[in-house]
Amino acid sequence: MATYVPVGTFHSKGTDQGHDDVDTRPVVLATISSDAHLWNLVVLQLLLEEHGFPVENLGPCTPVELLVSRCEDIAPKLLALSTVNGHGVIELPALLRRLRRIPQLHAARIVIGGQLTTTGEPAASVVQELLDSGADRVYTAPADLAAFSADLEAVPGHRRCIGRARGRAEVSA
Amino acid sequence: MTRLTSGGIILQARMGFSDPEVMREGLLAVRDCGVPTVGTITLDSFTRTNQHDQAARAVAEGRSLNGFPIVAYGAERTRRLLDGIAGDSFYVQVRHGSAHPIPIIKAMLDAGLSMTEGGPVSYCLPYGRVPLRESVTQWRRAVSLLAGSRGDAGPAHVESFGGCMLGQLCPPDLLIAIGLLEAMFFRELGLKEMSLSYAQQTHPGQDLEALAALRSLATDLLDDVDWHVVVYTYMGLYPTSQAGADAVLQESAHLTAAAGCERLVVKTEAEASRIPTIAENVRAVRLAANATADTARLSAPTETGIHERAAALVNAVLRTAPTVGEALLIAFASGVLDVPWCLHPANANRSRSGLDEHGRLVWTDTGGMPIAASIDPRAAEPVTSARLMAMLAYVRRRFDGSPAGMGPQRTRADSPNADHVRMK
Repeated sequence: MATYVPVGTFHSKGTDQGHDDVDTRPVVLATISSDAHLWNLVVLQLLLEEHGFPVENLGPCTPVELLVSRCEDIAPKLLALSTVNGHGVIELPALLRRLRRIPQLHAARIVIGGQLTTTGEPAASVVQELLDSGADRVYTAPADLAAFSADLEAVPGHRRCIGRARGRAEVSA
Repeated sequence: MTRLTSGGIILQARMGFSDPEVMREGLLAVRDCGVPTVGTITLDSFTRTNQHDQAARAVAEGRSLNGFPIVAYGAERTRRLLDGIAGDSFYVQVRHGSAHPIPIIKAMLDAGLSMTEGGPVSYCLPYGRVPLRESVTQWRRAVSLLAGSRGDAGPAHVESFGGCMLGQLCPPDLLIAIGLLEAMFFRELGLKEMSLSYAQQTHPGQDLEALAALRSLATDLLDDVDWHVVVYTYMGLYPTSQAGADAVLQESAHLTAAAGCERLVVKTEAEASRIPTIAENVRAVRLAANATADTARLSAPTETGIHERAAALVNAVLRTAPTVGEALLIAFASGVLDVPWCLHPANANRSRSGLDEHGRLVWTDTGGMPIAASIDPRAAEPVTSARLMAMLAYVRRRFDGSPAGMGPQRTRADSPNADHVRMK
């Protein structure tokens, strides 16, 4: 199933001559089933592409079953869940426990980011519950996007693609 | 002129709480705030996605939802909440965001409410993966239900959310075209009262041109129904300073008045980080109402051909099929309509938008749409995540950077495409 469609300018294929062993499994990018926000997912896809990762962006209101089946098929090394509608605190714990039961995700890095409650910064107990439910890292402050970006350098398959921009026409076919 | 807009600009705050007592308190505060208002019940995200059991469970557990779960609560509880509030002197609109709206429409009609918003495209494409054909089918049934309703709720009114697609960075010609097409879809299903939305974008002169184009095309295309135009205060990344938030809100009020529009949906300074309180909403409504008296600060309308391009899009779509519903499906399948950046599987996602050196929202690539791009796609700079963030945050930067009371002033740091902006 060819569902990997880059949104950005950065060509993720053909820029890695001499690195045949490079891991080409896409990173999976998704949100919770009730969250209709789009822009966070578009920006994160671009950012991940700039770090050399193909991205499977499952889009707003990601159905749980779709997320599960794509993770089973891909066995991603990184799953990023971004949510800003305030329902993260309600939906994420059960979703994380479900995802961690998938054998293909046992070794994956799973990170959470966004606005997780309707009232602003989440309490430490909320973050701890997400970590206990299976998240490896929870990003909640506006400045955390830079931290997320820095953390990507440790993910296998990372290649700095910025500066190798080509025309979008080449990658949007 | 509709019953909603009997002279003067009517103000509206988007407000939704899961606690019925707080929801009632919010509606009363808006009704009694001293300026003409429409009330709002914004529904929560579980209800929008028809996860009513989840909504009921969360409420039972004492969780705070991001809106009012009208289906989970049912008609009787909603009627109690509205008792003595909604009526001929104070209308209440139900706002949701669902591509599967039938349970919501039934619940609101049962509770005596007949005003809502959305549309088969505007509540589908940006919000998830519900197939567009399914959304068109569901919205056809929903609008027919509303148009045929004869309850105590009075005549049904539906606002197209087409003028607010993506919240930001969707160029005005496409916003106008989708809004008009959705209104024509409502009309072909028998609806008599409707409104067209338009969200404030990045440049007031361009917004004035867009609103004039929208009104002119609506006058031509919707001559046999009751319609008005509702302007939305900027819906993208909001200024974080009080002065910046007030200034963007005031500019949207100036726009509404200068363009002769009938209703304004406001935002609050809290939007940048959380769901606003009742007091914050009331303050925003009053501030906007005061600002509608002053239109002198706005720049002149631009003349960039928005009317012609919006008309070209509408005509190209209508040519494809005998009904608007079918025509919308064909238009998206063939790329005649193509929402930039939008990930929905039914969207071609070949078009791209950006900001020009004046801060105007332009096409950098129109994909397969029958309109020309403003900037040659081959000459357009590549969009990085940082550059996209800079464009998304342009309005925040423009208004947060301005001295209090001086209105937005552009400086070099406010450059539309400055990519050294701090990422949110």
